[in-house]
Amino acid sequence: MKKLAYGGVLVLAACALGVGVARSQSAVITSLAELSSACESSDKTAGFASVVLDHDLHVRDERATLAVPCIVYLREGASLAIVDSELRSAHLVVTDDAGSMPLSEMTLPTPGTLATEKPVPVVEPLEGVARVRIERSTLTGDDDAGLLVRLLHAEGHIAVADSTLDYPASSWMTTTNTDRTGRPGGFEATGSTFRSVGPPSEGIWLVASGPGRLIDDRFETTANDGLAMVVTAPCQHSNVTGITGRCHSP
Amino acid sequence: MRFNQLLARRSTLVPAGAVLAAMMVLSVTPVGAAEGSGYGAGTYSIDSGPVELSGWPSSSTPVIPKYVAFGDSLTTGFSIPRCVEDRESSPWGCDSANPPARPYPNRIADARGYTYSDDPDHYDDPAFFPTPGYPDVTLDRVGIWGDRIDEAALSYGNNMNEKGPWKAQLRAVELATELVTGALGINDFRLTGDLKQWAALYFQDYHFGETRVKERAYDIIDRRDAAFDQMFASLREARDNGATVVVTLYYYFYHDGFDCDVTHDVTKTVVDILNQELKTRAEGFNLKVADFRPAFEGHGAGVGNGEEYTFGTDCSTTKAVAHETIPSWMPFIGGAGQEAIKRGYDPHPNAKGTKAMAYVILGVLP
Repeated sequence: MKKLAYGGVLVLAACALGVGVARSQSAVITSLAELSSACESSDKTAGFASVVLDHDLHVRDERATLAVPCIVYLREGASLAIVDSELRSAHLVVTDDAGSMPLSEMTLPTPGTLATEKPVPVVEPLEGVARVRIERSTLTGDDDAGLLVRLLHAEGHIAVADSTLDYPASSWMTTTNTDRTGRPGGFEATGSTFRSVGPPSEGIWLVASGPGRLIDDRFETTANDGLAMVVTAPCQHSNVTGITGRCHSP
Repeated sequence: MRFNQLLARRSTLVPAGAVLAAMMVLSVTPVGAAEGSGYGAGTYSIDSGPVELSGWPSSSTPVIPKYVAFGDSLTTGFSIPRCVEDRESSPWGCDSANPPARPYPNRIADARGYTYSDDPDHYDDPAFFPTPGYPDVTLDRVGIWGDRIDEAALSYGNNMNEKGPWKAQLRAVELATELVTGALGINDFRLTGDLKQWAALYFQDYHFGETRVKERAYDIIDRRDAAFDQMFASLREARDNGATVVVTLYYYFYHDGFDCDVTHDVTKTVVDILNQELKTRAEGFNLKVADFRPAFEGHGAGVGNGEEYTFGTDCSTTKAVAHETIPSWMPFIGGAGQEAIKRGYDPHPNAKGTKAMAYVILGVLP
C-alpha cells in the first residue's frame, strides 16, 4: 500500500458548516483508515462527525469504511485524492466551506453557451489540480447513505475517472466559485459510473459554474425520471447515458 | 414587535379608552366566531365580526378605506434582507421599520390624494386606529409578505388572518369604496424554495421534449381554483360597491442572460401562466388589468449596470441550483451562503421597481 498523504490536521468541528470550528491539534491523517477513526472520534453535530484537513490527503490502494456520517472540510487549499481504493461510508460530505463569503460577490463564469444555443464550443480538459479527485476507485454508500461534494472556491475542480460512485440517497457534486477572482471550478468524469437508486433517492446532480466534460460515463438513478442532472457552463459529453441538463454532444 | 408593544408605543397618540376598547375587541372576540365585515356606524371588528364598542370618542368614528391595496410581498416595499418575517407582529408580515423601497400603493396614494400612515410601526389600518389628532388614512395596505392565494382564501373564510389579529385581506378588499389594486398567486409556486425541483422539470422537458414545467404550473393553479374564485368574488364585490378594481400582473423577475436559462425561463413560464389566469378572470368580471411585464423588460435581476428594478442582482442558474443542492439527509448547511443567495436573487421591486409599478397602475386608472 502506497500512501501519498502529506500531513493533515485533525480538528474537531464544534459547530456546523459556516459556524465557528474549534481546532485542536491531533494526529496527522494520512489514510482513509485514519480519516475513519478521526470521524468516529470527533464530536457530532446533528449526528454528523466532522474532520478538517488543511493539508492534502492523497490515498492509494486502500480499503476503508467510514461508519458514521461525516463532513470532511478541505481548508487552506487542501485536496482529496482517492486512487485505486475502495471506500464504504455512511453519509459523506466533502466541502471547502466558504464560510461567510458573500455569494452575491461571486464571479460569473466566462460567457459560454446556453442549452439552446449553437454551436457548442469544445470543452478542453480541466487545467490545474482537481480539489477532489477519484480515480480507479469505488465509493459505496450504506443502505440509506448519500454523497455530497460541495466546493465553493476558485479552481475547485472535481474529477472522477474510471470509478464507481454508488450512493442510494443521492450523489451530488457541486462546485461554484464564491471568490472575487479566479476561475470557476469545473467537473470532469471519464469512464465512470454514478448510481443513486434509493429507495428513496434524491438523484444525481452535477453542478459547476465552470466547464463540464463527460466521456464514456454511465448514470443510473431512480429519481427525476431516471436522469442525472448536469448543470455546468459550458458542458460537453460523449458516449454518456442517463443525463439531461446543459450538456451537449460534441 | 408584539401587538401589545405596538399598542404601548402608540399610546402617546391613542386615548387610553380607545386602547382599552381595542384590547377588549381582541380579547373577547372568539376567533372566527362571527361572519360579516362588521364595519358600520358604532360597531366594527378588526377580525371577527361586529363588536359593540364603547368609550370611543365621537371623533374616532372608524374610517372606511377608499383605497385597498392587497397582495403579497410586492406590496410591502421590503427586500429579503430587510424583512424580518413575522406575521403575528406585523400586518404586512415584516416586523421591520422603514422598507427600503416606497411601496407602490403609497406612491399611488400620493398621486391620487389618498392618505396613509408613515408611522414606523406602520399600522395603517384606518379602521383600527382612528385617532383624534392622528390623520385619518384612506389607504388600507393589506398585502402580506409571503402570502399565498390559498392562505388568503382560507383567511377570508376564517374572517381573520392565519396569524396575528389582522383582518383578512380579501375582507378588506370588499370594503374599498374607490380603488382596489393587487394580485396573489406567485407564492403558491415556491419558485425560490423549490428552484432545483423546477430546474429538474425544466431539464426533463429539454430531454424528453415535454412540457412538465407548464403542466406543474397549470396543476398548481387548478388546485387553487377555489382560492381564485374567492379572490375574484371579493374583487367583484368591491367593483359592485363602486370601486375601480385593478388586477396587477406579475413581472419577470430575472434577466434573460447567460447562465440564467432556468431562473429566467421557469419564472417566465410560471408568471405567464399565472398572469393569464388572472387576466382571464379579471376581464370576465370587467375589471382593469395592469401588466407590469413591459415596464420591467430589461430590468430583471442580473441585467447589471444598475438597471435592475429588483433588489436582486443575480440570475445565474448554476449558482442558484448549486446552493440549493442540499440533500434532505443533510440536517444543516453553512449559514451565510444561503442568505447571500437569497439576497442575490431577491425578486422584490426596489425603488425604481415600485415607481414603475405605480406608473403602470396609474396608467390604467380613469
